[in-house]
Parts: sequence; structure tokens; C-alpha cells
Amino acid sequence: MQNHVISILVNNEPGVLAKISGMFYRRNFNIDSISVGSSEKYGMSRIVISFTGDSNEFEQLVKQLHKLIEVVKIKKLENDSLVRELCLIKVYYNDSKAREDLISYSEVYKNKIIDISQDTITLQIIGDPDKVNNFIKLISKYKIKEICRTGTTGMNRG
Amino acid sequence: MANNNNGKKTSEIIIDTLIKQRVKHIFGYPGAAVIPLFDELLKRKNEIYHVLVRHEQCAVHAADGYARSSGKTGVCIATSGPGATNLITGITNAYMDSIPLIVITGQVSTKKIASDAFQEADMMGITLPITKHNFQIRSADKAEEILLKAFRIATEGRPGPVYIELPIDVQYETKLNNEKSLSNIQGFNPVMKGNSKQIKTAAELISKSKKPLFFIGGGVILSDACNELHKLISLSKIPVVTTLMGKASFPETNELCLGLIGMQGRKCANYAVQNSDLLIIAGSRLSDRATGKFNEFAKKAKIIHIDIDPAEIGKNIPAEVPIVGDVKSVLSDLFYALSRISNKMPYKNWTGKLIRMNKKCSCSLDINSKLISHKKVLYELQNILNDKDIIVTGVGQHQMFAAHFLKRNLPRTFITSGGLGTMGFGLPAAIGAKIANPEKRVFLLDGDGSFQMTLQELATIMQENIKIIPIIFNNSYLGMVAQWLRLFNDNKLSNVSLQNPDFVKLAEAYSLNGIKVTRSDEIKNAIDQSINEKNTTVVEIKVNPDEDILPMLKSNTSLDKLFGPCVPDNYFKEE
Ligand SMILES: Cc1ncc(C[n+]2csc(CCOP(=O)(O)OP(=O)(O)O)c2C)c(N)n1
Ligand SMILES: [Mg+2]
Repeated sequence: MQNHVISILVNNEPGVLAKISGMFYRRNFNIDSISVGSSEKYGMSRIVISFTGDSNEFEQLVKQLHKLIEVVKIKKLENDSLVRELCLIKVYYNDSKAREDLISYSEVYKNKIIDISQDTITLQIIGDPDKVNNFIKLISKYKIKEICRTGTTGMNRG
Repeated sequence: MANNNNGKKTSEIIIDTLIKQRVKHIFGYPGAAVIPLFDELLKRKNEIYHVLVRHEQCAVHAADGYARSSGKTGVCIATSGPGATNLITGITNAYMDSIPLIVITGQVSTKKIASDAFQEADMMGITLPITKHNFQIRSADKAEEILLKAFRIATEGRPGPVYIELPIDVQYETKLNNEKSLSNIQGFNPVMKGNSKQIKTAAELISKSKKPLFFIGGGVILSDACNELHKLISLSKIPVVTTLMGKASFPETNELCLGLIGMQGRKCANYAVQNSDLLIIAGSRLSDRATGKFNEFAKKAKIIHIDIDPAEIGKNIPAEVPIVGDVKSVLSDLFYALSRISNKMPYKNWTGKLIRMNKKCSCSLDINSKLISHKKVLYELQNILNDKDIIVTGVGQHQMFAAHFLKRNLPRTFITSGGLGTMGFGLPAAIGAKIANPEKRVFLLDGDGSFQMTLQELATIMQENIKIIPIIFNNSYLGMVAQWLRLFNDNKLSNVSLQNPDFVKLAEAYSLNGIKVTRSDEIKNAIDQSINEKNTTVVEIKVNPDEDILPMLKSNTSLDKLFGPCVPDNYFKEE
């Protein structure tokens, strides 16, 4: 079992996401994350998919994706590729000590504090998924109100 | 396309484009959401002929039988909602066997879509996993372009059904722009030519192999590669086995053809696969029915796997030499690669042995029991058949008896529902096959259960004056299920016994003829009479309800676990 990230260029037609996710469901592929947005090409979107499985499963996933007519190009991301994820976390704090701790953890992680209320603080973390996971682990002793993650996006170097 | 259709209505563009694609027949059923299309069909009835079926499922099956028997693309049409959902079994059936179809339905108007309007069904969603691709036409400007793309997608690469949804308001809309329609599809370029290095490796492996074997699937027939296969086998003298879909891709009366492989396969064919040291698999997706238990399949063999769909290579069985490409092109390249190297045929003994086994791997079909044996019917039929005759089957014991015992020599002369195993496929598919091949004799071998799933199509036969030769194996049973219950469920027969109508009277109700056969010595005359009669004449044969189709495999066991008679016990001892 290994994590794989692929970046696919698709024709931006109605139903393309339904086709891709339907295929994953039908073929029993377990997707860690999927992120979608426009690309540098007009009328095309880029979808980045993170997937954990053995190399056979991964090969099948790529081949099955290729069969979808909307899929124009598939790129596998190398191990040293640039992968990022954005995560927003809203955490409760009981006292000023807790608040100060959260702020100083965030400094180490280079997080942004984007909102503070009477009893919550909202942090923005950008980094590879491991960094995000580690940070969430680090603050798990606090009561977390909400986590929103964009899923992995990324590209190869150079 | 030369003219730009400017000023034409979508419905007109659609029918016009079908005609330009040389579609001569279309199978369908009308309704409110396709009135403009049917209006156009009426206007152009001398150029494109619409066959009115009695159930939309049969429109797909008929288009499917038309495609399988002719190699052309089948086209069918239905209304929105229930008309469209009635197509599902047929579309899935075609998808599983990779049959090129264009399936068009109406839809509620674009303004009403998503409002749960009368006869609105989400066919774009429903057809997602059962089509090669689907399209919704949202404007007249796109109509021709989408249809041209649909034809390309249905036929190029691995074939399959393409669904097109056409909202009613769009059918009335007029094309306004002057743009030419392009059929170019970005990201759709199936690899046709196989990698020459891989093909050379394959040729070298063959020339060094002691026990090579061709393993042929339906892809060889779909890509029209039977001549290439024939040349390759004549050159190499390597024996061949086929899957159900690959049946008749190579002449079955040739001594090198070991016949059907798999769950219902011939012992010599299954033996050959399990003992081969080099399998050359072409145009097969290696379904579980063909391979038996995956991880016990051909364990002694290196595997060369040729397929146009890369996803099929390595999906169920890993391959040492994967070759992605059109099997027609790859087999032809392999022929040249093999003729260029020295091949001393180190596998001569193997070939000789399999030829001998092939001859012994048979039992007499000429059984004169009181209760009629399925084999006796096939015995009589085999004597009557010419190579060019087309056989279409239902699903069940009768299908497997025919697949196992009937010898067919030409591709597209054995038409059967493989991947989905759809009861009810036979009669409508036979109608489609006959319409595509009016000069040929079309025999339908059907079960009493299967036949009753789509028997309303006798009305289509009556109305269209279609002449086929239907033979119903009437065992008053859902025989195949009964067999499984007898063998694997302690003979506890749950809900498999059928009280049937009188099939002769039924035929007569549709102004057709019928003959009932209850004795073995009546079979030949009855079939002859059905052939010679001007009208379609249903031959109902009362067959032995307790006869099993053997040999067979239990589900998920390896190919060498075939059990049942037809070969002497010491058969596999000879070395
Ligand atoms: C539409 C459909 N429903 C159920 C089945 C399961 N099934 C497979 S074979 C069979 C019995 C077929 O009976 P019949 O057509 O009389 O053929 P026989 O086996 O008796 O020759 C059944 C019910 C099926 N294949 N297709
Ligand atoms: Mg029956």
C-alpha cells in the first residue's frame, strides 16, 4: 500500500465529476482526496486525486480513468513533487493559556490565524498533507469545532 | 461534413446524419418525447427503415443482433421516461459484450429537466456505468457534431453502446450558425498498432515454447481479425481455444480448434490451458466464466495478452507480455514477426497430442432416448446447417448445449448473450440478425423460459413479415437453474418449474405456424418444415427436463476441475 497522487486534465463538460466519481465507486477504488479547479487551458479543469493502494490497483485506476472520454491527460506526480493542501481549523479555547499555546504552535507551523472569537480561534494551515495531519495531531487535546480540508493538489517540479 | 445543415431542425439533422452514416435500419418505439424524430423517420422512410418492436428492451436487443451479425453499428430509439428505462437491460447487455450501438431517446424539454416532469427519468445518470459514453444534445448547433462523435466512440477502439439524450424542445430547434461540425474528440485516440518490440518478443517466445496455445475472445470477431488469426494458425500450427464470445472466430471443424473454454468448456480445451507453457490471449477480457478461479488459471504458462483496451490487460490475470492494440493489426504484425524468425516448432508433440485429444474429446450426439435429449436436437440441426447460417440463442442449458456441441465455422454465425447472460435476448436479436442478413437463414435456439421473456416480438415478426427458424427447447423448466439446484443445492428445486402455454397455439395467435415435437424421430422433419415454410414456424421440442449440460465447473474452481461425462476416464493419462 502506497500513496499515489495523479493530476488529470479533463474537458469541462457537465457530469464529468459524476462520471469520475461513479467510476471510482463502481470499480471499488478508495480515494483519499479529490480536488478540482480550472486549469491554464480554456474549457478544461484539472483534477488532483490522492489514492492509497498497491501498484496493481493504481495501474487499474489510471487505465480506467483513461477510458473516460472527458479525460484528456493523466500525469502521475513523482515522489518529490510539489503537493499542498489547505486546511482550516476552528478550535475552542477555555482560557488565555490555551489560546497562547495555540498561537505559538501556529507560529512554529507558519499557520495563519484568520479569526478569533470569544471562545474559538480559526487557523489556516498550508502544506503537504503530512504537515496538516501532524498539526491536527498536535492540537488534538483541544476541542476542535470544525475542520475543512481542500484535499491534495500538486504538480511536478520544474 | 460538406453541408452545414443551416436552417434545419435538430430532428431533421439527426435522421439526416444517420442516413449519411449509412444506417439503413433503426429499431424503436415511439412516444410523446420523440414525435419530431418519428415525423422525420416517416418522411425519410425510403432511406432509413424503422422497425417497430413491442418493447423497448427488444429494440436494443434487435439493434444488438443486427450489429453482432453484420459488424455494422446498431441504432435504436425510444421515448423519454419509461421508454428510456426499458432500454437498460439491452444497453447493459451490449456494454458487457462490447457491441457498437447508438441509443437515442427523447427527454422532457430543457426547461423542465430536473423538475420531475411527467416521464422524466435521469437517463444521463442511469446510463453512466452501462455505456461507453453518453451525451445530451442541448442545441441544434451541436446535434450533428455529437452524433458524429457518438459513432466514432461506439466503433473506434473497444466498441460499445453510446447513449444520446435529446430533449423535446431541442428536437424542434433550428440550427442557426454556419459552423461545420467536427468529429474530432480530444483525448480519444485508441492505440491501434501494437508495440513492435513486444510483438517481436512474443514471436520469439512462441518459437521457443514447447506448449503454446491461442486463447481467443470476442475481440477477434469484433475487430474483424479472423483472417489474420487463421493465417497465424496455419503458419504456426498452434492449437486454439475460444471463449463463448470468441466462438467461431476459427473454424471449429478444424482439428486445431479445441473449442469452448471455461465453466462449460470442452475437456481438451480446459486441459490445454492448464498445461500450456505459453498462452497467447487475444481480444478477451478473461471473464471468470472463461478462466475459472483466477489464481489457478494457466499457472504453468507465460502470458501474452493482446487487447485494444489496456485496462483489460492485468485486470484479472497478470501478463508477462502485454500488447495494447487492435488485435487485427497485432495478429497481422505477429504473423510477419513469426515468419521472419526461424521457428522449428519445438511444440510439435504438444500440437499432435492435442489434436489426438480433440478427436477423442467427444461423445455421440445421436441419442435416441424416449425423452428427447438436447444433444439429439443439435445432432439433427448440425446435419442441416450450412456454414453461413446464423444461430442466435437464449440463455440457459440450451445455450450452453449449443455453445459446447454445435460446430460453427464462420465468425458472426453464433450470436449469444455472454457477459450479462440475458434471458429474452434471443428472439429480438434473431429479428435484428435477419434484418441485417435477409439472404441468410437465421435459427433461434431458445429456452421455454427465455422465450417467454420477449415473446411479444412474435408480433414484430408477423407485422414485418420476418422469416426466422425458431426452435424452442421446452423442458418446462428454468433448466440451468434447476441443474445448479440439482448439483449444488441437494436437489432442492425452488421455483424453477414452469407451466407453459401451448407454443404452437401461441404462434398461431400471431398468424404464424407451429409444430410440436415429442419424439426424437420427428425432429429432423419439423426443422426442415420450418425452414421450408414461407411463414415463420415455431418448432417446439419437448426435451428431457432432467438432462444436465455436462461437463461443467463449479463456480470459482480451477479449469481442470471439470466434471461430467463425454470423455473416457483415462483421457488425461496419455502423455
Ligand atoms: C433476465 C434473466 N433472469 C434470470 C436469469 C437467471 N437464469 C439463468 S439461466 C435461467 C433459466 C433459463 O431457462 P430457459 O430459458 O427455459 O433455458 P433452459 O436452461 O431451460 O435451457 C435463469 C432463470 C437470467 N440469466 N436472465
Ligand atoms: Mg427451459
